[in-house]
Amino acid sequence: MNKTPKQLSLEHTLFAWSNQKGLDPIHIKKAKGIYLYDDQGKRYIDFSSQLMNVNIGHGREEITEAVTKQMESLSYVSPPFTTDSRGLLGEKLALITSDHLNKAFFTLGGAESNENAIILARLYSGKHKIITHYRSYHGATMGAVSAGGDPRKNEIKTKSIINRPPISSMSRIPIIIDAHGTHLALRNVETALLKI
Amino acid sequence: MEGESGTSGCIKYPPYYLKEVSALCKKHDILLIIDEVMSGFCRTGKWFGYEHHDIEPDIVSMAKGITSGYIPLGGIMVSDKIANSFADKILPLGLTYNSHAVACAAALTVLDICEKENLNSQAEHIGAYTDACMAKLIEKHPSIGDWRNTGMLGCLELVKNRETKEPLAPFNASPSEMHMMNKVVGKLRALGMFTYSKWNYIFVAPPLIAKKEEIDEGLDIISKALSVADEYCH
Repeated sequence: MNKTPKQLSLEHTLFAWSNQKGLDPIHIKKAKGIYLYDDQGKRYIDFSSQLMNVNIGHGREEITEAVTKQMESLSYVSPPFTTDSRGLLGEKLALITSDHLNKAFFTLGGAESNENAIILARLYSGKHKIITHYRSYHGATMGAVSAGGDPRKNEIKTKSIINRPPISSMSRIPIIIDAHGTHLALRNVETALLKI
Repeated sequence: MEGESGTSGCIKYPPYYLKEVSALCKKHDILLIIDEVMSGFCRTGKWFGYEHHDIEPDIVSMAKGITSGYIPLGGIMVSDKIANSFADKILPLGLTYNSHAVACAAALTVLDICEKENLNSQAEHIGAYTDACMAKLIEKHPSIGDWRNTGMLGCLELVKNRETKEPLAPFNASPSEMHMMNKVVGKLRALGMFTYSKWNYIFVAPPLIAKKEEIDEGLDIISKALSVADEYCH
């Protein structure tokens, strides 16, 4: 018998912030307004806008229309290009934030926003220390989780320094595209790793 | 710093705290980054939570409400002084999906809805209604240790004893310390509610379009679930 999508999601996907054993996720099929509907047709009132993000409610057709219209003309161009929606959203955000905030840099979510805010602050100021609040939460990427005061940040996540072995000697190895060349290159990598 | 505390427990800043922190930053030449990821886009009854505190951040980070979750998008708004400093030098930031056209189109429409439906005043109005209803639940349920809310970003803190504030689950609780809270959350789910919860917190932050009768419906479910929590009170 075919497995249900719920079984498949338990077998083949990892669930955030959870013991992976014994999970029983609600399988949502539809959402409208402030309500969610599961695969059994049971209705749930969404009393936290999911993760405090679905501010305008679920299932708004205006968004479907806007997204469809945008996709019909253009879905994606790389960041050096510009588009109507990029320009108009930048202007709108400049209008609704303080007068001295006039330029936006767009990311994909909150953690990335904080990550880039930290980088930009360091670039501008030339300083590196970041001071944040005990118990605050700023996202779960390495920089953001290090900044946050949420106790769920652990030693592994906040060990954010990436070791870069000095492998410049590799570039001086004669390029021999055969097993011997690979062996030589790997020996150099291992020598570098052992020096860390 | 958070424009307004969210999953950290809706812990309110004392009066003038953020304003004074901002002044300290200026005095010591420290940049102030305000995180509006959760508190932005009408959630607290203003476009951004920092507007409650009369400050001028150097950078504001945002996400979540900007597209209401329909498509992923985040961003930072940057002060003129920072932006201008890169006029003649490279800005070394980049992402493949920076300024994604579809995400920006979704955000524009979300912001349009926020304005047309006056979601700032809606959040203030419905938030005040929720506060008034919650006052009755506080009288009824000894397990409510605290209720903290700004606009429609609110959180119940459940306790075993309102005087000592002994929590129903400790700060940073392990799964084995969550059995009482799990019963409360299980009751919510059985009665047809999803809401974000963490440790001994139950969040009340419905979509900003929620009507009074929908708030009543939700709080009625919460009240029934709190009866489970009340049994642990001493």
